[in-house]
Amino acid sequence: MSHDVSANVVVVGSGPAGTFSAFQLKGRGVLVLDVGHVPPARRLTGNLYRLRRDPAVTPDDLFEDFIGPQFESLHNVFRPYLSPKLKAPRMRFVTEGAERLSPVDAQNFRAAMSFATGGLANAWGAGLYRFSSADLAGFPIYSADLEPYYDAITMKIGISGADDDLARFFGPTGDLQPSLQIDGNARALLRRYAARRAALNRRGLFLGRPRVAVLTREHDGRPAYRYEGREFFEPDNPSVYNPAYTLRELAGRGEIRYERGWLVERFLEQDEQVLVVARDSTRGTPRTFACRRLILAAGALNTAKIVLRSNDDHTARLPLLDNNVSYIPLLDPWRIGAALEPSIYAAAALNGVYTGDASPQVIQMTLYGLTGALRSDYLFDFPLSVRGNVAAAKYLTPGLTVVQLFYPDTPTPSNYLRLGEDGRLELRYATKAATGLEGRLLKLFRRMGYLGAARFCRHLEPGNSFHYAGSLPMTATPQRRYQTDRTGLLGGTRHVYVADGANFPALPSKNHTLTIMANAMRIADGVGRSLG
Amino acid sequence: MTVDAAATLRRDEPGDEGAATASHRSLEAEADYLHRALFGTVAPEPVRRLYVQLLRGASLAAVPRCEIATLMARGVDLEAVELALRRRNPVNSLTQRFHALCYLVEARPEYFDRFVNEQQRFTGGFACVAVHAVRSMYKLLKGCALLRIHNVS
Repeated sequence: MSHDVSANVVVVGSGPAGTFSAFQLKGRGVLVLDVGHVPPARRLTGNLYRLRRDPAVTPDDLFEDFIGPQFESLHNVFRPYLSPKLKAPRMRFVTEGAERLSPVDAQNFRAAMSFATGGLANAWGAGLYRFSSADLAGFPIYSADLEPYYDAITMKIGISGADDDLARFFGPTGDLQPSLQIDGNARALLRRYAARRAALNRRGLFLGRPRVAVLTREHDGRPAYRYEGREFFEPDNPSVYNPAYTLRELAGRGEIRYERGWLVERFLEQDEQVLVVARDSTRGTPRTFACRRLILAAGALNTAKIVLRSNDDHTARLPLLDNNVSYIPLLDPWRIGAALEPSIYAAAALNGVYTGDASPQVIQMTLYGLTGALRSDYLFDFPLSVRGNVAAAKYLTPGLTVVQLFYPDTPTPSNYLRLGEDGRLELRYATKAATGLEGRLLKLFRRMGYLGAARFCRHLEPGNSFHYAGSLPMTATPQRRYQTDRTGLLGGTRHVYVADGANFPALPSKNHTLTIMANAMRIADGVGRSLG
Repeated sequence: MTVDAAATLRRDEPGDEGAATASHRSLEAEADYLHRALFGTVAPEPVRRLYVQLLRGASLAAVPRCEIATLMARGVDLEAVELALRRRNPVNSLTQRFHALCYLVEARPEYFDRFVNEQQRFTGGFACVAVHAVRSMYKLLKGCALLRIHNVS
């Protein structure tokens, strides 16, 4: 295999970590290597519900976009559960090819891996939250280390939010755009919360508006959000941030090089350079890239796999962290039969934080309405006959809210990943006992007039959060090969850095994407300094 | 032969045109039967065509087996049978078939009003759901009896 000195820095991966590593090192000889799947061309534009009523749109067009030529939207009818955000026809590219490019042998863990430009952020809820010092417990860095980067990201991509009860958990509000409009269901919930705020706060429940990377004002050439409600069906609404936008912008200006079609397999340090061995993702042809510094940002699972392959290590067990997820469905009986509001943002309507005594740690939750999904996605979660379920979906949906809880995670010996002898990544995750938190929250929501029952709560199989971390954790004084120091430098290497969630030593309940971006920038800054 | 076994056979013997035509027709009849159970009419041609296309390539749940063709021939209330089966095992081939049909029709404009409520209808909506709750209890009892009578496993 031949190689040439390709770049000062090679960044592996184009998700939030890879993109913001590259952003911070732009103009300094950065090459981003990525498989880089892209979404299929957009066919229909416009509002989810108006399209379905538009006489100019044919049933075939609707079928192509909402069901799919391969019946993509019916995935969950015949196959193991896949998030509704990943199964629509134009969303399937997000995880396309993962089984072939990075096969796994998983037990009790449903891994979602993306080889798309922008990574799993193509299907994200766009929630971005600053970690507080408490959230960073166990990290060898402090919130002050990340604050300048949080500010820079907020300015760069535009984050909307509000100065409300959650500001004390989510951090400063100064640079935020106004929060998104919410529908009648979320407005009713906030009204009821406001009426009982003191009592609910005493019991540890706080509600407010989400911090999301969705523009409510034009910003940096991107338009304000138009409430088309198609978050479950399209990955490239320009108002909803996607790291692919920044990557294209940087590459378009010649500030970085972005090479698609390369699956990085391993690296090798040689003298003062790092050789990066990649394979053409379709033809399988190998190629070696050389660089002075390597930044791994392929996601916590694939970054770990690259590191293990580079060491040809099939025995080491690396930690595997995941925000376990549960859902609590709630019904506002006063909104039964409420008229459809077609102009919606289909992802997070509200956020909640629980600090009460039912959980030793702060728990963050996201509250969704269900009007952005196909009714068939949850039709058989109703307990009635199929005709009854269709009627329930029609009349109860306007009053339904789903509370999505994210549980924090810390390393335990039973949750690990390992490179199998056959080259597959073995993922092992012990089932976690229910904490009873759902029952406590149900009681609090019942105080606000909501109906809900524990039997309808659902714990998803681990891995369904897409929030993975911890495989190559940062420590102040790395003792082992598979740890990183606070600069992101991988133990046992001189020029290889880990910039994604793999270096998180713990996973708080709070969504970690903004911190992945900020930490990647921080690490990239250090890499930049090391280049001189 | 169960429908599942028939589906397997269809996939195993693609060259058998007679069997393929028969299975095509049986799936069309199935689409009509399920559509009538759901909406009171036979399935429109495009829905029927999509249903056949989908089911011919689908990997349906293997257990519990539900002999749908036999039940259809006897005119059994499949809505009731489905509810009873779903209570026993949420992943069964009859629920999958109803679920698939719901997806296929939901995206079609003519079914929009079946799934989406555009007018304020608190009383009507409440009453409709309440009636269906009572009706579902009846259907469940009926379905449990039908499972026993027709020996559906």
